[in-house]
Amino acid sequence: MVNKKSLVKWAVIAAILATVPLYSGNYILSLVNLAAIAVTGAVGLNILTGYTGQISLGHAAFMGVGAYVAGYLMTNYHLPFLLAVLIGGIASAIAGIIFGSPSLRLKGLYLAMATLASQILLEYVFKNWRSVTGGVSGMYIESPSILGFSFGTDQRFYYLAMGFALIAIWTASNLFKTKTGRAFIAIRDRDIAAEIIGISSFKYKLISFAISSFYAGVAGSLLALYLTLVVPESFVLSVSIQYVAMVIIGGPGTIAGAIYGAIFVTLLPQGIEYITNILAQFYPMEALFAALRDMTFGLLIILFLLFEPKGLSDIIPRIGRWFKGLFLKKGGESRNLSHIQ
Amino acid sequence: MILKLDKLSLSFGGIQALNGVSFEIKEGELFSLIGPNGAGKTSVINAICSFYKPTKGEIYFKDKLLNPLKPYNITALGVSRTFQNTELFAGMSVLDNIKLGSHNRLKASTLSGMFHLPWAKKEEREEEKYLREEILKRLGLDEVRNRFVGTLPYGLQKRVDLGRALASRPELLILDEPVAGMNNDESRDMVECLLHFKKAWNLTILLVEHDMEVVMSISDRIVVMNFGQKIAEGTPQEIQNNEQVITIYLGKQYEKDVS
Ligand SMILES: Nc1ncnc2c1ncn2[C@@H]1O[C@H](COP(=O)(O)OP(=O)(O)OP(=O)(O)O)[C@@H](O)[C@H]1O
Ligand SMILES: [Mg+2]
Repeated sequence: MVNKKSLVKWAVIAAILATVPLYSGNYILSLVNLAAIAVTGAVGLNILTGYTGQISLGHAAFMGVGAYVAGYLMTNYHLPFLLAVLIGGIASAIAGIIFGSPSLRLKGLYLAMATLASQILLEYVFKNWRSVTGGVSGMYIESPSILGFSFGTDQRFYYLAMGFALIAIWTASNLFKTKTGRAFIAIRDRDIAAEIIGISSFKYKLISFAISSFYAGVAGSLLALYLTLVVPESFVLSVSIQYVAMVIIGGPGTIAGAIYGAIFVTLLPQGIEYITNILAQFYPMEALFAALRDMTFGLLIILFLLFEPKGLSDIIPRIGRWFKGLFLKKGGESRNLSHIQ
Repeated sequence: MILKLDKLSLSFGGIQALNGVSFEIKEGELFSLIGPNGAGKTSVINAICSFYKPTKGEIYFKDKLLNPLKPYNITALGVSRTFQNTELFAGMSVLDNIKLGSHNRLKASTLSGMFHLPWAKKEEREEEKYLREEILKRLGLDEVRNRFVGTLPYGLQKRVDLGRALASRPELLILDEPVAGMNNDESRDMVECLLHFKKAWNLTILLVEHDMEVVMSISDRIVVMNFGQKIAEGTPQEIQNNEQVITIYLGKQYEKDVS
């Protein structure tokens, strides 16, 4: 199974991942940390949307549930942060089951509307249940620490965010080697046939929703720990849409896609901000950035759905092969799939 | 009696797809259901699977009433089926498609699978070994087990569909036109496989098929349907000599074969 070549490959990747904080500046590192948190969240949404075929416009709200629960437990009960993150994830999964039970009986556009409703409802709770959430001004929390070791700097938080992202990737890849993961894909591809061969599609959609919400809750808690602040703004509809963009742009139904998508969507606003700053020198516009950002995401979702439905997870290997072809001058090795008598 | 249909009726809007169909299948039998296109054969299968809800009549599997059950409960009881148009999951490998048939037999929890816990790994590994030894090798699918099912030729896809139905280890296996669209060699291989599994696993088989050579040579008993009604029942010999069956079905089949 594990041959020498892949062992070397993984050793190199591990070495790079372990040393990133040593040579990265704070700005880069803060982006890396945000991207790692987004990877955890996007892997979760990809399980629901990419692998099970169920759209959700409420992912950010479920992140919020995790963040508020974890934050509340830390500030009011001084729970160790790892435990708080875990409970945040579980709370989110429970919220997923509660909101999913009515929603998942619906399909397509109707499901989208139902999840949008949960987004709006939860957002309202975040803003208005002041005694618990702190309302619009939010809730401050301490930066995470274990036995006096604080993760308060970008350098240290990196290992936390990356650790969770790797666990998310690992558990999700394992999932699709089990009966539950296969059931998700079966429901996505042919829900009626799946029912007839013995899979309760409602039950497995609900499991998918719960798992996806768990990842969301963990990602939300991590974001709260990173910012040491939980505010409703972190979990609004446009964030949900960004997560949908991660799945679609990255490549639905692939683990690599969720990773590419999360990185791309985290970095894109930085690029747009950079451009708007330059443009603003010639043509000053206050709200240009936010509008441009949301429009770009919308446009990218449409373009990818139309022209590259397999997303970056398909484009990046293609570019890789193209480069290989340049150097090998042989058009790469042909992947021979068919040798059947 | 392993399966019993009692005056089954089914309609879609104005169309009466089934009209008072009754028959019983004995344990260990190879029981065939034949009739012209649109006679209602697939509808009978869909009703047994609880996918279509009969407007009247009852279906019993080993004295258990199936009518109120959901489709996904039927497999767990020991009934599985293949599909007229295979209904495979094209984006998954052959092995994963067949593993889906084992769904209800795998007991490890979702969490234990996600964390790769030893017992979950072991169960998965053992199931895979079993499926490869007992089903894939037998159906000639072991070499292609990692290929996407959508890239396989039609004949092999039909076998994957059969493999998936077998993976749930049914007592009653329902086959909807298993050799349709196959050439003679493929068809012979398929029939050979079926008879092997029937014997080795002690299966009862309900077969729907238009290939009369196959039906007449392997069936124990046959029911003939036309316009949603049962018009005859008997041994292959009796059916072949039944005037009414010859007029509405066998005669036409024969003309088709000649032309
Ligand atoms: N889901 C459905 N909705 C409406 N009508 C249906 C449906 N399923 C079957 N029918 C109708 O019921 C009748 C019986 O169809 P069925 O598929 O059972 O025939 P069949 O005997 O399997 O035919 P074939 O040999 O062509 O497969 C047909 O008139 C068909 O149009
Ligand atoms: Mg049919």
